[in-house]
Amino acid sequence: MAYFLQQFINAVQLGSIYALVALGYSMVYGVLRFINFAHGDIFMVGALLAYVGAGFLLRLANQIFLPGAVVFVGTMLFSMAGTTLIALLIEKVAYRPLRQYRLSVVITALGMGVLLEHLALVIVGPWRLSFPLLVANHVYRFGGVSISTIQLLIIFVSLALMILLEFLVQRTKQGMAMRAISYDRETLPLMGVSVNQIVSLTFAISSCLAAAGGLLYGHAYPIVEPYMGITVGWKSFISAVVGGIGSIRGAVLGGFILGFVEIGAGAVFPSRMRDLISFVVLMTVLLIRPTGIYGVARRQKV
Amino acid sequence: MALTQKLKSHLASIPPLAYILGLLAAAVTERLAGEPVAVSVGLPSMPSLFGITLSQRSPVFLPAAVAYDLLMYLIPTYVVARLATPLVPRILERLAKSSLRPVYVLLVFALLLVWGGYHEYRILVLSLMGINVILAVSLNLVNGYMGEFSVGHAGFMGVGAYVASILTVWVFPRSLGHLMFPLALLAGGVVAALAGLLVAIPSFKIRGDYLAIITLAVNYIIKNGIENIEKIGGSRGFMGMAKLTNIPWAFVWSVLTLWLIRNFVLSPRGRAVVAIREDEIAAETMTVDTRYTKILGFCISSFFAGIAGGLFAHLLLYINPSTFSLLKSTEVLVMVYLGGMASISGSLLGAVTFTLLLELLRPLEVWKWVLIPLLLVGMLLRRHAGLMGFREFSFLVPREEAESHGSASD
Repeated sequence: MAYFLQQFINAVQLGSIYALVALGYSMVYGVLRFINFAHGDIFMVGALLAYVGAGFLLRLANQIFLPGAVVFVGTMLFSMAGTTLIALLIEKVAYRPLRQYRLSVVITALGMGVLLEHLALVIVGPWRLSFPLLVANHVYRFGGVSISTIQLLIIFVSLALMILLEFLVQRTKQGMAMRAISYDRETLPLMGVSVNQIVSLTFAISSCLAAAGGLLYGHAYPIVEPYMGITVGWKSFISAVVGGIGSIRGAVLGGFILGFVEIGAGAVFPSRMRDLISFVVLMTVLLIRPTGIYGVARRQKV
Repeated sequence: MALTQKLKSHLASIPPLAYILGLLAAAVTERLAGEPVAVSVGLPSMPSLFGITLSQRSPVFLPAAVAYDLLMYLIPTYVVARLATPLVPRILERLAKSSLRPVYVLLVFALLLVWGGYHEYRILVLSLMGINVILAVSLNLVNGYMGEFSVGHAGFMGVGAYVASILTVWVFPRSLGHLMFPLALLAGGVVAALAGLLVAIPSFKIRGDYLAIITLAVNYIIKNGIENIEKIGGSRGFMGMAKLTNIPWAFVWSVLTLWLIRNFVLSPRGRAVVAIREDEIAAETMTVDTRYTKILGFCISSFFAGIAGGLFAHLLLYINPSTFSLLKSTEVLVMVYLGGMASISGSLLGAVTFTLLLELLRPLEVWKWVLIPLLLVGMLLRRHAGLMGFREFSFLVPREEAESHGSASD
């Protein structure tokens, strides 16, 4: 039982990071019907920027007194701002002019991913950087189950961000516009809403979430490197699809499902089979529900 | 402005056959006199790829390399092409119309052999080019003609590579190398085609972006599966192959692939593939057996990917599962979209350009992968459908169609 609970906590921790990144895929898809294949690398950029910001703020904290919370929030905001800028630049240069050509834009997205990876490689080098911890880590034990401050922090921050997102999408005008775009893209401009603005906003939000994901990932598995976005990116993409791409709740659910599948498979099978098992499970899910869990099959006109 | 216009129209007035003859003459002269000419213009040795690599290593060589290219390639090609121009109509008259394509193919083959056949590095580049052509054309069948988005082509390539290598290393006697090589490749292709069923069968129900993820998962499953089979080396890889891939094999297989896929696409079944892309339900109501067509499309595509994998394994003599990861699939995707969707010519052009680009930019190391995406995006911004999207070189268009519509492009 204790073992089971322990794995449960690990799964929630992994799942919440997947969910944060999956939200980015799903939101952009909902608005543009386009898979932003560079999103995994946006996540990597977020993690690297968090590394830079954390290094700077920690040095500053040595000289003047800064509470840990300020350092953490400051790092997160810095990483979010930088990542958003990069994502908006990419959207403007590489996606917007090609928006009506669905397949070309997918290729530019793949290209942008490769570009980000290798720019990062040029700038930081091929080394694995160990991420500094921004909070004092303490392990609490309840019976046989242990949970650390970092795990609590990851789960808490990602849940808070998801609730914030839910509020943003459901309760604000911009959120309404986002939902409206995914509902009917032709009519929305007629209602006086600037599609470009909403698209930029969507990219900004999704890259903020990815940046937060990067920061949290850096805390959970304290290594950052230029290629880290590939695996996490693809897995989050799979989470988004399993949940039903385009659906916000689906992305969150998919992230947690993937977290549970991975941890569960890792507990039962040898760890090198982990990826294999999770992909097989996901293929099965798709075979049973071809549009994902929350996805609605678009009606086809005959 | 007027001058470049004039130059352009002058160069366009020389028929392609004359150019091929000119290039052939240039290649022969290089073979005979390349080394002394290179030394006399001040290069340390004969440049392997137009001297670009040399001049990147040290810009001092740039003028010498330009001089070499002028002397060795441009001037002989132009002179011979110009001289051959009046002869070309007479040659064409002698040849029956049906034997024209084989003659071109043979001439190109001779050109490649003369230019690259005795130079290790050029053999490598040209063989890789052939492999990439096979990969790009076969992926275009699914992504361009069928309109699905497959991102897992490297998985099938891996299957072919492993099956063919296992056969040549463990099963077939080594002394029979080249004799058994096609058989090993075919076996690799067939097993890869069977692996293609992993994508084809889900595609009955799953479409579009959801199918993309299936192909992705299949790529991962194949890679991870190979990693977990200790007998064939697991993640350490597999080696022991003899170096069987050379220019003739790469050329024969890529021409075969081009020819077969072109004919498939033009056949009734191939038109059905295009019909599925345009509207699956409409195709179904027009009596297209969509399931059978999809199976056929995916299996043919992965069959050729498997062949390419076998050639690849016997070129590099070492394979490991991570060779066939998503990065490789992405490379093939880039070739397809660079060249153009639903175009055999495009894939040919895309694969050749991409291979050359990779080699030419090799000295830039990591920066290469910064530059290539930028080039790709810049190109797509200008021509969103790729270099040759939905168009064909005239020699790939069947005669009846060319006569009725005029060739789409040249």
